[in-house]
Amino acid sequence: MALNGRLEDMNLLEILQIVAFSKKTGTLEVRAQPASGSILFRSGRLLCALSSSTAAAVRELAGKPLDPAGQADLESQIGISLRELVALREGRFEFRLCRSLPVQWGGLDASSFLLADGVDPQEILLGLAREIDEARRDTARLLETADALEEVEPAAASSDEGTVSLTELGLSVLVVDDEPLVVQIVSQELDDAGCLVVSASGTEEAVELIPALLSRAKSSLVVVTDAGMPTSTGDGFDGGLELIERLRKLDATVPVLLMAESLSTDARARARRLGVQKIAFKPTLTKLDPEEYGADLRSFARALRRELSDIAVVTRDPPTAAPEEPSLNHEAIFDFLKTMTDQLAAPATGITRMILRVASKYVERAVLFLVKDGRACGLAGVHHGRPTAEVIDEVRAIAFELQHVQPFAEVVYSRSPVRVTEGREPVLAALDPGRSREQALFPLLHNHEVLAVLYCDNPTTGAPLSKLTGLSLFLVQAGMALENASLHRRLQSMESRYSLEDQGPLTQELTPIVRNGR
Amino acid sequence: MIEKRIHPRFGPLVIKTAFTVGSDRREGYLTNVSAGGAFLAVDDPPPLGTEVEIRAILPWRIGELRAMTRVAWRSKGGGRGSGKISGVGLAFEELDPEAKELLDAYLEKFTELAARIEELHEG
Repeated sequence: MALNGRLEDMNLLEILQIVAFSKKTGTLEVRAQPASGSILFRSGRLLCALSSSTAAAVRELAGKPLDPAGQADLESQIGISLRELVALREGRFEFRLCRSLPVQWGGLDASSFLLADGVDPQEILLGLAREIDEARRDTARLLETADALEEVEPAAASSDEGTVSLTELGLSVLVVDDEPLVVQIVSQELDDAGCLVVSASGTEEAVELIPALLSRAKSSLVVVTDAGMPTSTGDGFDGGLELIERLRKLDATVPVLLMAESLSTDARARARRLGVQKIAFKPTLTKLDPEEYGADLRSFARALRRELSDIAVVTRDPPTAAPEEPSLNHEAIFDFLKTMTDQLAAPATGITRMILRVASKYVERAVLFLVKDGRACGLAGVHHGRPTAEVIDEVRAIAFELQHVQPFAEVVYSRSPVRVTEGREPVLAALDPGRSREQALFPLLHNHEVLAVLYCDNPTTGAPLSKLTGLSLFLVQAGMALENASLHRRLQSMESRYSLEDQGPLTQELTPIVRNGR
Repeated sequence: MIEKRIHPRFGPLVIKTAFTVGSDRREGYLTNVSAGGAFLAVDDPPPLGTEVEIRAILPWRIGELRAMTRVAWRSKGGGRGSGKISGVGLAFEELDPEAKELLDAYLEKFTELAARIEELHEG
């Protein structure tokens, strides 16, 4: 019997731990696309690791005596190799037991360059687990904020090619919120983007500023306001909408982006009547944790910044609304899936919308739930024949402990789709079952863990669920796209962390990524 | 050397964990899990004797473990590369039947996988 199998069944982090626990000597080989590699153990301690992208660097080290600097270089290459291998989702692994160290390993003379005592894998594994969690948190934040921007009026589909920077637009932005941290973070982000930012902490203060702003910069003014603030009379908490009403008496065309933690159907209808271009939902899950909340708000502010250029461009050059796509036959679904999968190749903003769009081709209702800290929280949804705004309101009010909803817990623990067949209780009491007879739940995986769960059913007609293989495959691709987006953000953060004068660490960290990209 | 442990340890498995001390909710990583307790790797470890409620999703589709534990010993850690990790040794208090079942399933699976390596023939 050998310890071998597929990475789809057991991820490499778990395999590494088992091998290290066994305290054996041997090699763990990984064969996969786009990377392969090998890890060498002696008595459970990790002596070396190499992957497709680090093999050349490890070979270079093999030719030199391992002084302390060489040792540090080798440890760094081991770290890079492990990160690369642990990220693989598909492929095969095999652990080969050896009586003593193999003389030849990875095409090299193993005796010349290994870490003398090896390293305790526990510390390395903890470091890797922390990195993976950080990347997952980052992606959850992206899903929760960037994709929570809902278009009230149809806007032009944006593309990187057509995007106009805020600096080019020369926007003046009035930011209004009674929460100082929101004002501070959003203002800073827009200021960095080249906008002229003026801020106010409430309705009355903003109303006083507007005439001067209109006379100075009417054609370039955009208002970004919170919905839930005290009114000027102090007897209500819809001061944001009051502000827009008073703005409209002075000018009917200034674009408005409304921020809200949640919004009732009535408030949303009122916002629409007042010509609000977009509603952006503020992060709420982490409000009690100042550090996490600050990070979430910064992510939210970045999303606002992207959307603001769309609003400004769209308002000045009104688009024609894209026609609703007719329902598709199997051949057309295949073409549609290919197109959508191609779109996933771009860094992943708007992934929630893409997932729901694809799901809506298969089922009448699809709802995406974010999984965080043992809980699932409604993020967005679609339901044929119902206004999207109404569905999102309903969905965002749903949050529950995973352990209380068995099928959800099953998806999270198994990381596999679950189908709930006819005759069983509805999965979620909070979602009106209508005539729904069966439900399907799919995991959205990020670094092998479940980041979100997609719920699907047919509550209007009660029709049985069709084969959902295409949707399932699309979710796998979406997870990979999110991981890629996470890598992009890591690159951006590295770019700002290292100065141009200190290229050593930057080159070291980037080399495998660049080699992979070739 | 005579093995004095009542429960064999199953390190170095790393399991992400949410834990609560009083009303403070934090995250860490469980390692060296055994039927009697586990090591919780965490910066700024809680004091000796503290009650800690842990929640961890166990690998291999086993389920979510929820258990009350108590800090039995502390390690301040020795910095990167020292091999000493900051954290606390937790002893399980009373495990309810469901938690015990999950923990047993996890330990059994781990033992089975480790045994497969033991049975390998040297190449």
